[in-house]
This record gives sequence, structure tokens and C-alpha cells, in this order.
Amino acid sequence: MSSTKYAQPLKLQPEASRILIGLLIAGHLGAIAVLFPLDLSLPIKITIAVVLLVSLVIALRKQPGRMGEGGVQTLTWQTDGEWLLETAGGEKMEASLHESTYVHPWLVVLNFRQENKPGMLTFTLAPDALDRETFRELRVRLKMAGKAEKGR
Amino acid sequence: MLELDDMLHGFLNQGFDELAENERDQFENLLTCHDNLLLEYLMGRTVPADPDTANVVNKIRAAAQAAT
Repeated sequence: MSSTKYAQPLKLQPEASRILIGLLIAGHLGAIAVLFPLDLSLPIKITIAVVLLVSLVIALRKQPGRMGEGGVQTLTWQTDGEWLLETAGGEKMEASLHESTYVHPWLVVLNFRQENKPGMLTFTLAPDALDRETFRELRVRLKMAGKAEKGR
Repeated sequence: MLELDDMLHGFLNQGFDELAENERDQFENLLTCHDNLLLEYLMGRTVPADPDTANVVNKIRAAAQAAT
């Protein structure tokens, strides 16, 4: 999905999204809240609650923006169609956009694959993570890339 | 802005494929405009000073009109 050429790079510097952080916290705390009325022993409930809290912390740290050293701070869609991801710590990673990337007016899920690395890097962007124009440009470009991919 | 989304995404489905390489670059440049200016262009209230940009804007507007 990344081989389309572009006239200029598109640089994304997402801020931590209040919408996504709110949903992550509500989802995890909601799961903990429904855990306690269940017919399970207390140690099991506490174990699951701790796992959920750890999951919440990991999910928050993975958010783009300034949520932690490991978090990607800048995503650049380069003119050759490839992406350059830069962490707050200065680490740079080349990545290719995967076709499973999802585009919706209120949500973009960017899925990346890195050469010779297993798994996928996923970035979920709500509209409040970017300025309005950049979010629109990203969505239109992703649609263009999707069309180019289908045309091959 | 949903109007912009409708027009731009509609154009990608119908019209974009017929653009020449340089027109696609112009389309990309157009995407960098602020929402309000882009809306002015696409609603026909303002004509871009650059004739190449105006040409692409006309094509987007024509595609939107053809779709309605």
C-alpha cells in the first residue's frame, strides 16, 4: 500500500488524543467494575484487575504524542510512499503502510509493517490528535493510496 | 467539514483516475489548503489564482455536480 509516489511528504505530529485516552480509561475501568460482581474468587479478580491496569498503562504509553519515551512522536509519509516513524527518544524506523489500515471521518487506524520484523505497529488517531487540515489530508491520501492498491 | 469530505472522497471515486500526473500533484497541493479556503474554492465562491489549481478545482466541482 505504500508504493504510490507523492509530490510532497506529509508530516504527522499527533498529540495525545483526549478522546482515545478517555475511551481507553473508560473501557478498562469499566471492565474492572464488571469484574467484581462476577462469581470468582477474590485473588482471581485481583489478578485480572492488575492485568487490566497493566494493559491500560501499556495502551496509554503506546499512544502517539508525548505519552512516554517509547511513543512515536512523528510519522512522516515520504514522497516515495514509505513512512518514517520517529520516537521521542530519537529512534527512526522505516515502515510500510499495511492494507488493513482503516479510514473513517472520525477515526484513522494506521497499521505498519517493518521489514524483517514480525508483527504490526498500530497507531489509532482520533480527530483531536491532529489539526483539522492535516487529519483531512491524511484521510484523502489514504483513500488515494487504497485506490492505487486496488488498481494494481 | 463533511462537505469537503463528500466532495473530495466523491472525486476520488469518480474523476481522480482521469487526472494527468501533474494534475494529481495539483490535487495533492490543494489538500494542504486550510479548510475554509478549500471550501471557498470548491463552492465556487473563490477562484484559485493559479490556473492549474483552478483547473483541478473545476474538475472536482464538475464531478460533484455530475454526482447530484
